[in-house]
Amino acid sequence: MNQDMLCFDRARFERVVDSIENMAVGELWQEILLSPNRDELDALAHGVNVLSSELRYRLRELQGAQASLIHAGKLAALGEVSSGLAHELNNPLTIVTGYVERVRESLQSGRTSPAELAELAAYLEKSERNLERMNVIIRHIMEFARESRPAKEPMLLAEVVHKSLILINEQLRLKSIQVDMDLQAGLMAEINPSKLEQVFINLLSNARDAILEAHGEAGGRIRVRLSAQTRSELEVEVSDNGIGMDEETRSKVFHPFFTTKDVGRGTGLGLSISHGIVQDHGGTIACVSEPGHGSAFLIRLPRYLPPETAGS
Amino acid sequence: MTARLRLLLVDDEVEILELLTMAFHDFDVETAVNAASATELLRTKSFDALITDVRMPGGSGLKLIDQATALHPGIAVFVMTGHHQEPAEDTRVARWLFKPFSVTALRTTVLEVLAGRQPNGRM
Repeated sequence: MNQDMLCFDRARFERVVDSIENMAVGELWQEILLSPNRDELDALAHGVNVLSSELRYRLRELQGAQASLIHAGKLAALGEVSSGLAHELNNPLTIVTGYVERVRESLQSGRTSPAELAELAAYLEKSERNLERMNVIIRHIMEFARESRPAKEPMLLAEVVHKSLILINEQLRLKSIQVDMDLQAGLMAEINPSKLEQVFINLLSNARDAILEAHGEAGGRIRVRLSAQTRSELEVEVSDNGIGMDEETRSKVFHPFFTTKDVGRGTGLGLSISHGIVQDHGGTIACVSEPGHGSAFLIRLPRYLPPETAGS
Repeated sequence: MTARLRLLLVDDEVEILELLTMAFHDFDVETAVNAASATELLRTKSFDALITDVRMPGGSGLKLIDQATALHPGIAVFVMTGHHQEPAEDTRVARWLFKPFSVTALRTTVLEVLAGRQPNGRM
């Protein structure tokens, strides 16, 4: 009888131990059925159930806070490029305004010969082209700023790199910063495109600042390279010929709130959020740098192989 | 015959240059897409007015104003900008023009300023 009791208790006891061990490795959802005995083991099991439910609640809170932080970081990244965006929208707006004025003047003064009408049609076409230019930027700002869905999908990495440049290109151009791209075509990863874009914009903004610090108006060069490392891994490298970092700075770049920028300029969150995003995609991000010789950020991500090629 | 007024237009946006050239069809207009070629023109020719963008690759329009006013002390300077921050007090600048602006209104402004500078009128 005692022996039977011990066996039974041991099974229940082991169930409790298993649950605790599962939680320790991240399987937070544990629920142990209590026995009718309501003995000490049940009290322990009940404690484990409460712990499991509390941990899941805290995890959800933490995930919510993390999502808000990433979104705030995204808006901060948009703020970083906003002056270039204003310039890029104001120019086509000025052009459209100018052509519309010309069309109105022509019509008011009755200039309607076939040649004059053809000229007006050309003005309208130019206006349309500039409106479309604005449309691309505005649509992209809205897509980028929207709170992103958590879902990941197989995407062409080169496309994501190109999209992130839409938002920052004008600013780089105005600062005489040349962007050299060397993107291997066809490489895919299972990603959240808007979050990855956020990472690239952070890296490009930092590269821009490092170049301005080193060369001022003379500008500089950013290189973006995308390549397959292995059959299962790809690498994106964003490098610049900016001011570079010493070892102490380099070792802290991914720490939250670490910034070398003036108060009010940098949040110190861009790279730390980027680090979190890359990690969430099962990847790694690293930095190599040398004072006076620029910096390079290397992102490695698991490759997505389309089903037809995966087995070949 | 009265001499035509000479105008230098500087913007990295070619279509803005085209629109302004059309608006100032009765002027002698030269255009430049960056500060470096504008400087070159300022060195070799004389101008009554300069209309320049501020933010351009390869050098700021504000530095160009330094050169323009040094080379041609009487030049009327108009600055186009997409930024609505309060412009710094700059006595060399006749008018700040905020993008997007009306080209017609810009022309009127330029004519007013130039007429004020040249009471005898060369227009």
